[in-house]
Amino acid sequence: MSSIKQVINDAVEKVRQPNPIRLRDLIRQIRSAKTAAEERAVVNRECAYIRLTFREEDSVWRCRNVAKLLYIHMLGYPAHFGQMECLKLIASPRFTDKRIGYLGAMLLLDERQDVHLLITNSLKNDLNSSTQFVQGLALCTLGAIASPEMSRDLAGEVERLLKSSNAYIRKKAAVCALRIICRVPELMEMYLPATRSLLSEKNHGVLITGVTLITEMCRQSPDMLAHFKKIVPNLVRILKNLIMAGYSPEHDVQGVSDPFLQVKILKLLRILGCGDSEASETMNDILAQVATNTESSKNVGNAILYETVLSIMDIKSESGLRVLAINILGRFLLNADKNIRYVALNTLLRVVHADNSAVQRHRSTILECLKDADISIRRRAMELCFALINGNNIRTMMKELLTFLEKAEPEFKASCSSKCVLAAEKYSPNVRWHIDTLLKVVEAAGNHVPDDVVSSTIQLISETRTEQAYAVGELWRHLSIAQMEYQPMIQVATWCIGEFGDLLLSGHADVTVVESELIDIYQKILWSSQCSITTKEYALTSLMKLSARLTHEIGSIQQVVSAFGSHLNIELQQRGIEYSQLFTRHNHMRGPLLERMPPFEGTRAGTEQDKATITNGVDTPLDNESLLNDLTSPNNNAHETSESNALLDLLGGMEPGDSDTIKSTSTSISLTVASTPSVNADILDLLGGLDSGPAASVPTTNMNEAPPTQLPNSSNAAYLLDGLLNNSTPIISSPSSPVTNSAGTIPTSNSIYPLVLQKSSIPGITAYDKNGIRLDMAFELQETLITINLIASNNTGAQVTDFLFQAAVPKVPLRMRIKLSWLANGSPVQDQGEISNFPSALWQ
Amino acid sequence: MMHYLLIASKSGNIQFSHYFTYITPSSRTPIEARVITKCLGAEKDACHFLEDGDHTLIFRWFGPCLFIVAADHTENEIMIYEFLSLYVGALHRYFGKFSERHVLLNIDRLHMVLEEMVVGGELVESSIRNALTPIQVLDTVSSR
Repeated sequence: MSSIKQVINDAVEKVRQPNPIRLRDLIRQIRSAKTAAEERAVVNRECAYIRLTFREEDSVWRCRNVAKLLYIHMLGYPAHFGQMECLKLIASPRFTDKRIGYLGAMLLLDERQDVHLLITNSLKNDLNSSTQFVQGLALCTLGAIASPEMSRDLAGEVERLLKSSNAYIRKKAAVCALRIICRVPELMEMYLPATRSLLSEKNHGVLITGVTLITEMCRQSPDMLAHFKKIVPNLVRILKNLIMAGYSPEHDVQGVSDPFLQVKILKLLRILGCGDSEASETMNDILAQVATNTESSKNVGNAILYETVLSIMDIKSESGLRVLAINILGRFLLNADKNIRYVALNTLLRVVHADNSAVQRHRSTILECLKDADISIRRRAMELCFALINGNNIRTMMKELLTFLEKAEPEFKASCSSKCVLAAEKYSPNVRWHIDTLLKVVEAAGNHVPDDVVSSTIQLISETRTEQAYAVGELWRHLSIAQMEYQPMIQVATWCIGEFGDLLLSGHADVTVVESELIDIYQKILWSSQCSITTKEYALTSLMKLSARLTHEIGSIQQVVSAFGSHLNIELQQRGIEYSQLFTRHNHMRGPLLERMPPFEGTRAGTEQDKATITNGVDTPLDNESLLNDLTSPNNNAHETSESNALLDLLGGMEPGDSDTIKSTSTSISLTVASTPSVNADILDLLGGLDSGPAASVPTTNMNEAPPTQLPNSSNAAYLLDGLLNNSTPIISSPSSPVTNSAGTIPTSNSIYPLVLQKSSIPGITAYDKNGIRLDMAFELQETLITINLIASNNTGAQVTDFLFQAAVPKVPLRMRIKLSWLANGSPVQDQGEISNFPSALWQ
Repeated sequence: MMHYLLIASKSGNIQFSHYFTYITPSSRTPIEARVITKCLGAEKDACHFLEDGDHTLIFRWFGPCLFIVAADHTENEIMIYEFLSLYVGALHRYFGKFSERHVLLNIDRLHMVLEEMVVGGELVESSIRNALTPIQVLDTVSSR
């Protein structure tokens, strides 16, 4: 009776709680869900059911439930409640349970959690199990999720298994050891003896993993690398057997026997031979053999050839072999398969610096790749083209690159245009071509031009007197048809037209322009909603300059400018108002104020890297700060370009004649001033002559107004002074006319500092007193910043002009080497010296 | 070293994923979505190697299934391309006639076969026969 009741109960139970559905049924259910909400409902229902069964500790179906949980987890739903269940599965004796348990552990467990450590014990037991499959399973999991603690615990077990007689186990143990070494590099020595025997295997699986293990060891530690150099002959032998051996069905892939092993061996040979000529010699033959015998009609063959080429290029191979490698790459380039072409371009990029001439032969193919439909190939081809440019092929290359630039995607345009500018800078055959190219770059790149291209273009045009007419004519042509949305072009064009408008109007530029056309275009730019504020700033300033060049339309210019006096943007409003003043109150100054600017000096985009030049004031105020810092930390070479050749000269460096980029070693001590050239001229005359003329306050201003500012007659001295001396004082008229060297000071100030030799606790020194010139220095120390005020006095009683003071401060201790030169009564005087009598209080 | 292997459908749904290096589950979904979109966007005969951050993506179509592997830049891309072919060949041999249906319904087997061939991101076994033997043995044992 009771047993019948039992049976009935069981049956009822079974109907009420059926077996959990199988994984594939769950998958079917989820996939048949039509909407995301439906899918979520199915998943949530199943998750709830699984959670219930986990709570009930049902070990029969645990395996199935965890499998379902893993699937749900893959879809992206949270599954962390299954982690403990995985552990229970791992501990179970049944193999199917263990399998799912370890899989779950691999996919769900995070090594940052504590649950992770609980597996360690199970792993240890399983590693010692008698079944090879259980051991293999444990090794697999350990290889996948080894954390540093686990690695340390189980490293010994893995090492023991590495010497096991079972190839299946050895294979997995080797990869496990690999992962352990990656996590805990100190354990590397433990595995060293076992690896010796790994290479004398017949089993390819063990060979592959052994080679990978050795590769990783060599990569991590140079000692290991040296140790393993002696296995090169073994590797060569294995590779030879692979190639020579006949067909082996289990390792054959598309006619090549075990390409995976071949590639691994080639990689290891590369690491072993890199930089070592002896090892490289041993490999030469086999590499040549592989390169010539491998069939390139199949993809696997190409994979092997690719690896061979990489190896040949990295080791110290003989030149014949290198030529062979480049030829293989050339063949790859012509392959129809895009993958192969991509790989070839990639590799050529790596070798082009070493073997430029060999790669040049394939230039035309590379240029073809620029037009390929595939974006990866185009990108690689572009980089490669830039690496191949030299003086001979610059014209053809640039033509292709400009076509490429026009059609390129925006992310390419910026880098392509700046590289074009660099290349043009280095290799342009003549100036007109250079200007043409820069203009084309600005036009083709639209709005994606980096900022330095605009200033480089402007600088180039302002430097070359002869081409200015041509340039401005071209720019006018572009401007009259230009779209208002491409700012850089408009900026360059307006600047040039403003500067050289007279050339345009007088017909020098081969275009006929009427003044009213000019004004129309300017009005269009200034009122266009598409032009940026910076462009309008350019346009407004250039319009003002035109007012000094044009004859008829001055009235309309004045109207336009004064209209801007009520613009919403502060900068434009300020300009509008100030420029309007130039028409009304200061009309007499307008002409000389707006004269042609002298050419810029200083770096352009390309010259910076190659030649050590000084930076122009065009750059940001930050330059000044860093130059100032140079005083306090003379070791600070962060701003390399601030060291001029003259500096090096002082320090006993190179001849001044070496570099042709020393811009004027001009005469006067410069000032930094705003863009008012004619005012500058007066002041500089004043200073340069060291006359006891009427004192004029020298406005020392921010070096970086709206671009571009200029530094008339800037000398090398200025920047040295900027760095080393920190004062700004005006001229004070007095019989002996002491003149202070002004410098670009704390740039934001527009004020004038009165001459104050501040009373400071540190005594001043007389640095130099000879030939009638005397240099006095006064020091101030604020925490770690030393400020030196220098006063140079002319005691000769005669006029001294073209006074130049240059100083260099080598590292420590604090001393200064100086070089002075001036014209006394027309005859040049020069002197050098060293100042070492700085008070010791300075470097406390 | 390989970082992960994904199988996606033509419509962009993920059907199978195996990670060789640990990535937190929450960040897996956006990574997968991004990677699959990139690979789906490539044309038929375009280059099969793309870049995604500091991984190279190698993808290959097998029928309606898209297989994607992410690997380091130092890996031989063509070799991984061939490895995908090897893996699919192994699945073919195991299931008899591999199709998309098998991917859907036998995810655990896919994991196992993959584990036999790749451990911790490194290739372990290049021979299909050797890789499948343990699994086939276990299948016969467990079905008895």
